[in-house]
Amino acid sequence: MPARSVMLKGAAFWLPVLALALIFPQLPVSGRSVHTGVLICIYGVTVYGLGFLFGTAGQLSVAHGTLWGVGGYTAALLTLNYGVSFWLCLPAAMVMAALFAGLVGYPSLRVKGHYFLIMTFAFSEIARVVALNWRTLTNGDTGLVLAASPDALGPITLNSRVEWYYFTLFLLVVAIIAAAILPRIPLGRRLKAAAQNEALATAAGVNAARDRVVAFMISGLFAGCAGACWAYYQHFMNPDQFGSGPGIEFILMLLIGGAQSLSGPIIGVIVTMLLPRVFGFSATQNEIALGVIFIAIILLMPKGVPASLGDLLRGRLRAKGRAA
Amino acid sequence: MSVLLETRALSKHFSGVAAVDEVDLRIAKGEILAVVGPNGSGKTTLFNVTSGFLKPTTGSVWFEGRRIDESAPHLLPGRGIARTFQQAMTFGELSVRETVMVPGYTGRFPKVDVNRLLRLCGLGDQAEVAGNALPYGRQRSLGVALALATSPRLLLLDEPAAGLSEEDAARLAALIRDIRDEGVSVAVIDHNMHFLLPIADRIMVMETGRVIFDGTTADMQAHQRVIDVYLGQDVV
Ligand SMILES: Nc1ncnc2c1ncn2[C@@H]1O[C@H](COP(=O)(O)OP(=O)(O)OP(=O)(O)O)[C@@H](O)[C@H]1O
Ligand SMILES: [Mg+2]
Repeated sequence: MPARSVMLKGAAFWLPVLALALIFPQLPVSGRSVHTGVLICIYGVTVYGLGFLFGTAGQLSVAHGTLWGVGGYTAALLTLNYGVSFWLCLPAAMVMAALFAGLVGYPSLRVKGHYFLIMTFAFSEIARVVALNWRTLTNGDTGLVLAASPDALGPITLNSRVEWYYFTLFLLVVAIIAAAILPRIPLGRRLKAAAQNEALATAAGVNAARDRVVAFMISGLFAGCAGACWAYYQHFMNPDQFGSGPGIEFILMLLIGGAQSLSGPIIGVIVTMLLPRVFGFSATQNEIALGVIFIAIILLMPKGVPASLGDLLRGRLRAKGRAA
Repeated sequence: MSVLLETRALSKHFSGVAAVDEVDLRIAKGEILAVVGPNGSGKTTLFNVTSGFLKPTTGSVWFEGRRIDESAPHLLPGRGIARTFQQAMTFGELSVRETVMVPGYTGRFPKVDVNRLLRLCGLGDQAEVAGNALPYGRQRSLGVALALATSPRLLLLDEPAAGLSEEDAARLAALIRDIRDEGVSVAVIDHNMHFLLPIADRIMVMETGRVIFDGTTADMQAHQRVIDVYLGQDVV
């Protein structure tokens, strides 16, 4: 497709979505709906980072729940212990999450695919146990209470849900734009090539292992940013809220929406967040439902729901064509 | 004749069995070397070690006077060694054009004229086709184009003519000559003597990991044993 028509098609989808997102809090919706909107934006930022990693580098990571926690704890601890402003905590949390991603990624340099997934799972569990037991730093399973709201940055204040909504929506838009650009820069092109065929990419001079670590660190920036927002927005953190549990949930969100299209992650986040509300599930029922969906997707639709449905439809059409 | 690449007593063992056995390979500047031998004689393994994809069990590899067998494989294209693979390989749905642009994204190579390169490799009218949608033979040509996109001084081609039509094979033969005439050394593995013999400056014959003949085409025609046993009767 020529670039122009791709852009038109993109605009036809994103502009109405953005307009709806912008007026959403002005509609007669409950505070709880705005709250869900904030969470969708925060999760969305993380899942776009995960989507870049999976869609471009072909790597799935369970560790994003932990990297998210690293961001949250970094922000909370900097503020609680040193009185650092939210606006400095945010970049610090991003850098810290990226460094942790490098820490996991470096020893995993050579592993790919399923092996990498298992490495990130192990890392998540180790990190959770450390967070539980390093009481002097993390306050163990009691968790941390971060009562403060972010200080004002010029005209920007984050005291109400609606203000949080617009701020996290802005971050989400930035994340989506970043996720659109990253596959097109040289790093993204190299990652795509290496994900398709590493030997051939190596023969073309690509250092695939190093590029994968860099990609993992970049996707850590997204998770760290979201984690810092989450900590400030929820005012409370404990180690069980991070780790493989949320990490798997992020993967689920990604796979429900699909990583191949730019709209996939946000669709997946929204569907996953609205599921319990639409069906009136309890927390336990919801976990079971998500677990079942997760297994079904992994087994039946490894490319994500939209892509697999697309394949299925095309297959049907072809079959019909043959029959005719 | 100045030596571009040299292996010294190079061996590669797989679980104790020598796939390459004490090979002294020499490739001169600007020559076309044909590497032939029966299936499993170690030709591909020799290329894999030479291009850094496998570490030698013993022996060493030298390029332009420097030892390279300890270098990571992704660094050797930047030093001037490019290779293709015996199996047709693509970057999946990446188009032909996007494929040959990959080396450019590493910042290790001089800029190349992609359109000209694709024309030279017979892919000029398929630039926007996905690599994995090309017919098998054309996928190998894409491999050659990708290797050339790194502006190599030594090109290692592993059965580049397999699956090509006669016309495409003739075009490839002409291309290999042109590349050589521009000063690039080329080593070509192939089983097709009709393709190889007219372009080769020198022939090396391998059997069970060892070099059993190394010399000119004319010499080989006198080497009856090589002809009888390893090349078949009908070829020369
Ligand atoms: N990665 C590997 N692991 C184990 N054994 C291998 C490996 N690669 C090659 N071999 C063995 O080494 C020997 C030489 O194989 P190689 O592929 O180099 O032969 P070849 O001359 O290229 O053959 P062909 O003409 O069929 O391509 C064979 O016995 C092969 O089974
Ligand atoms: Mg071979």
